[in-house]
Amino acid sequence: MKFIEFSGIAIKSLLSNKLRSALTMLGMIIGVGAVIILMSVGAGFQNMITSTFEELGSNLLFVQPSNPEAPRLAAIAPGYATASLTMDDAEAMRRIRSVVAVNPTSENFVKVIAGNESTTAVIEGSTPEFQHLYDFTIASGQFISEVNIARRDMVVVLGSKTAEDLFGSDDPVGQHVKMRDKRFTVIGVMEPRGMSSFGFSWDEMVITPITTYQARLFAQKTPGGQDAVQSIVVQAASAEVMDEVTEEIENLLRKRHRIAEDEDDDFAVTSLEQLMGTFETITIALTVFLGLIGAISLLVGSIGIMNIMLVSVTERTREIGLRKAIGAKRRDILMQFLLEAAMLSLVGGAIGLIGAWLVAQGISLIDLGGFTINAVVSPFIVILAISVSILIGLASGIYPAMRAARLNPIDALHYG
Amino acid sequence: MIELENITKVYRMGEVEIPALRGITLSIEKGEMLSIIGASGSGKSTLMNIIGFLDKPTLGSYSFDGADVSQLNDDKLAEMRNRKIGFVFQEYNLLSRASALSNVELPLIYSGGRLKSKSKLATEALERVGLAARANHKPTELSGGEQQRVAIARALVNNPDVILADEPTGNLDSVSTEQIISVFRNLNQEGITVVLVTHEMDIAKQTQRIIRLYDGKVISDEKVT
Repeated sequence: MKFIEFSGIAIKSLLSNKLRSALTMLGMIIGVGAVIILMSVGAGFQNMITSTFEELGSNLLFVQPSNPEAPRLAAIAPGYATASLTMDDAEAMRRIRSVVAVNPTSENFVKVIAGNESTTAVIEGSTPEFQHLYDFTIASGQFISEVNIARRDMVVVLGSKTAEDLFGSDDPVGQHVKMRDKRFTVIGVMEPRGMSSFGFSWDEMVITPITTYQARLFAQKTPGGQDAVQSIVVQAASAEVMDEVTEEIENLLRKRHRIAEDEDDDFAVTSLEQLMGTFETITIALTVFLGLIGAISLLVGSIGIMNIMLVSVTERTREIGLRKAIGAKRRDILMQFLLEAAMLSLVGGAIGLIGAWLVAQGISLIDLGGFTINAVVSPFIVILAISVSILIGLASGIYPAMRAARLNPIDALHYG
Repeated sequence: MIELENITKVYRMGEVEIPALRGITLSIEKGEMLSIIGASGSGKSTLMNIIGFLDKPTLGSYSFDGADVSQLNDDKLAEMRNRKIGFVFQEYNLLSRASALSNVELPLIYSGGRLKSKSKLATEALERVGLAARANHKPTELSGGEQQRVAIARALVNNPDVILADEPTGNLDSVSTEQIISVFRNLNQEGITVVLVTHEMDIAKQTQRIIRLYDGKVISDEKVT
């Protein structure tokens, strides 16, 4: 019963000084709001990455050139890697047991012209496996074939958006496009696919045989003078054989590239899972870091509450003296001030929570070039925020409340 | 009802010991109306604080209704202040943001009980001091005399045995002073023991018994005739 009455007293006293209460709460509103927004964005970002990798499949391996002198640098800045992979490497990988598909690919940005229309797209020099690896459906015409590869045919398959930009509603199949001053025949158009979660459009793409890409568009040579490919995607039979296949690819390439026992690889094999792990580590670190920044604002908020409660205790010394004279026990006074602090903190935290939820809804609506971060305020976050608010209120209120409770009523009655 | 024996109170200010009361022995019967009079520094406020369980004597014994007060802990003393004693101060000490009624209800918060009966009891107490009509006014909307009557109603609300009033008319004009004294008289006639602490002889003369304090000692204790 006393608890309810004391809550009433606390609310009245907070309402009697509205501006001060509001300003004190602001610290908690910002603190709790910041922590929740950062946590929910972090969670949303993590979900996005996870779903991206799930969309690609977990049995893919990426073989990329590296730089034996600086493998770490090459991993983050492909420009530092030595062009070391060739079509022959890809062919050799096909013979490894448990390998289902091998897809050597080189890519670049290119300007595509058709008549008076022009657009920029990603050009993929690739193989027929590309279609199956990434699950493309042909809307019209056909995909590139082994024959196209062998003959270095000047043919392209267009992404739906690129086709529409260049030809409008006409069927592009059989028509011609120009890239780097060379003429290519359109043999197929793909169904719209939308955005990749990585942030690029699957539909603004031009696919040409890898051999044609090397010979006619962007020639790149290995140090030995062979045609280089930028990367080779290998699909293993199942997720279970990934380690085995990785090891076999490494052995094969070391042999083919004549790398001695004590030398470093000039290539790197990465599984999707490893990539995902790396991304996850980065996002977790980022979330924790951002959370810490939020926690600092929470700390500042709680100092604000303590400060105001100390001022309030001093201002109300006489009131405390009177309450003791008419029968308030120490714990009654303690409870009154603790409840006030807890209520400031709780109401501030609740407003911060609602604000953060609104901001999270807003963030989820933002179109980041075709994909969105679905910032989720989970029940766990809500419970955490509420209990942290109460805890902070109690922690910052306990010292001022104890001071109030310890006041000598005789001195307090004659204060000021 | 109140038995004080050889009560001594010494305040320590660092190294220096300041005696406020030096061996006070007196007894107050139930239903008395008396005044404690003395110059400032004579120890009358200290005596009142001890009688009202706000302070503890350094030496001597105090029994209230036959109970040894020195044996009671802080919580028990708070309870005694709540139920047995009603304080009235010179400064009224009302909560300025609360209505007269809420001010009068205040002691009831610390004695438990139901919310409804609280406002009923508080209204009754206001009626006893003739202020029922002002129940919803804030202290700032009341005159000094009215504020002091609200404070008296607050002292009354828990039906105390004793009302301790420390210079209750110190801030009031003569008309209000008369009113307040007559309120105390009426309460006394209803059976409540009233102890007035004052330095004004005129007021003291309106009670039945005058105890004079000087330098922490009782120098006279006589009935008014």
